[in-house]
Amino acid sequence: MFSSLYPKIFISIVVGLEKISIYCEIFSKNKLKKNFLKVFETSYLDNQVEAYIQECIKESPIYYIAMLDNSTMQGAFNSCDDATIRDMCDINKITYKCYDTWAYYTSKYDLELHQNEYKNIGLDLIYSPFVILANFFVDKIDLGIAMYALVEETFLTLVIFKNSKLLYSEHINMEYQKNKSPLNTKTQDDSQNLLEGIDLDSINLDSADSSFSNLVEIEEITFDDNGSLDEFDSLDDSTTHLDIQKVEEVLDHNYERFLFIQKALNSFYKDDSLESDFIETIYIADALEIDSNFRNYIKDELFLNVIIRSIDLPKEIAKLAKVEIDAI
Amino acid sequence: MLYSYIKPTKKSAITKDFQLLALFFGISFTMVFGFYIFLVYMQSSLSSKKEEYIKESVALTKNIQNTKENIAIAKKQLALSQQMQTKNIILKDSIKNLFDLVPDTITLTQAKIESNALILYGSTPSKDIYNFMLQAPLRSIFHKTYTSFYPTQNGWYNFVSTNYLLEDELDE
Repeated sequence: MFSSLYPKIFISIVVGLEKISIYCEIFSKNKLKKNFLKVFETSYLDNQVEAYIQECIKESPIYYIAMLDNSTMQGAFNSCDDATIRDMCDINKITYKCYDTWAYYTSKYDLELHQNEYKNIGLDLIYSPFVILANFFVDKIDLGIAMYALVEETFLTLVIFKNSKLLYSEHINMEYQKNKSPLNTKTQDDSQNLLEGIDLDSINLDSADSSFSNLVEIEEITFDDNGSLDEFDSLDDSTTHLDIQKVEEVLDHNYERFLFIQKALNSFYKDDSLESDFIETIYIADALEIDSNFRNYIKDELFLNVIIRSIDLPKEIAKLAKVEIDAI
Repeated sequence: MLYSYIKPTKKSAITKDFQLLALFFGISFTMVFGFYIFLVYMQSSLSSKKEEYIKESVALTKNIQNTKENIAIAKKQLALSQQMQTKNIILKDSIKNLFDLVPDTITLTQAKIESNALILYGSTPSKDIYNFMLQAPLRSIFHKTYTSFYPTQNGWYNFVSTNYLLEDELDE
């Protein structure tokens, strides 16, 4: 009865590699009164973050805290049938929820870990990145077959939909995968399809027998008189002041993502159990403001149409939380 | 549709501060209301007592009135009894005096004492003895004296002496 007297507060938490984004929206009589975002240079809930959240929720007792699930052990099933899911994995170790004809899941242990970590302030909602991705591209999912990717700081969520039906899904923790050295996997068979990946070690630019001699000559990277790199004309003047190491990291991560997408496509095409039609388009929900190199990698190497939409993850989560709470 | 893995906890608009405030208001209101009930009860109780006291007062007033009437009656009775006692004393004295008046030789058989009259019946050896011994003092006392003699077989005389006191002469 007294709830309508108080404003509603929605807080979304997105945990990155070395930062936590806390986004707060305050609604009064269903109208947005104010919203603000703060980023903390930490990856766990320390006193500072907790104090900030407590400060946000001080205004009203009606508050909801939502979080993006950053578990490594999460994914999606192409079916919502309980029996089918039981066949795929140990149902006692996961928590899954249905979304139309498919389901998304996460580790029960990780869920409890999240709730335990935030028990002082109370966690109300935990969302899967698959849900974020599906809702973000809800207008595109039923338009034929396409790949959808959510690019976060250390995660890459990939889904292939065909007319709203989920065909393939993968959730990649890039740091975890990097530690497992997936990028160093070498192919033994040189006659494998180019889509399987390029063996970097086998490339010999100086060799006359190299297949590159038949391709368009790769231009030598040169420096102009100002000391800037001609080829990287997408980098604006501000990046010239960046630490070269950071630039290298960004380029490295983009390439890593490209390789994961490439690997996912390979798996999709190779899997006989899936209805693997040819994919022409990839829709990317970009939470990082990735540069054009990533687009170019995909466009040039995978021959996909690339459509990138910027996504404000904390805002999306808060929006989802509000819709869910209003529906309850 | 609910997308979250977990359900949100129920939020109550009633914060701890509000609960504390409500508690204080509740206690205060309860105390005020309790005091009000107490006052209503006391008022009711006193009203019924007042009615009892009024009835008691009326009864006592009536009782007082009755007592006063009884006192008046008692006083009248006292006065009457005193009057009667006085009269009795007077009468006794009168009778004593009368018997003192009657000499030994005369025998009284009946004496009627009225408010203003004395009638004697008796016997005397002779008329002279009566006239000298009794008639004379009677005349000195009463305003009118009448005597009738009746001779007896033994030579004595029975007499009837009627003596009156006149009121007019008494007032004088």
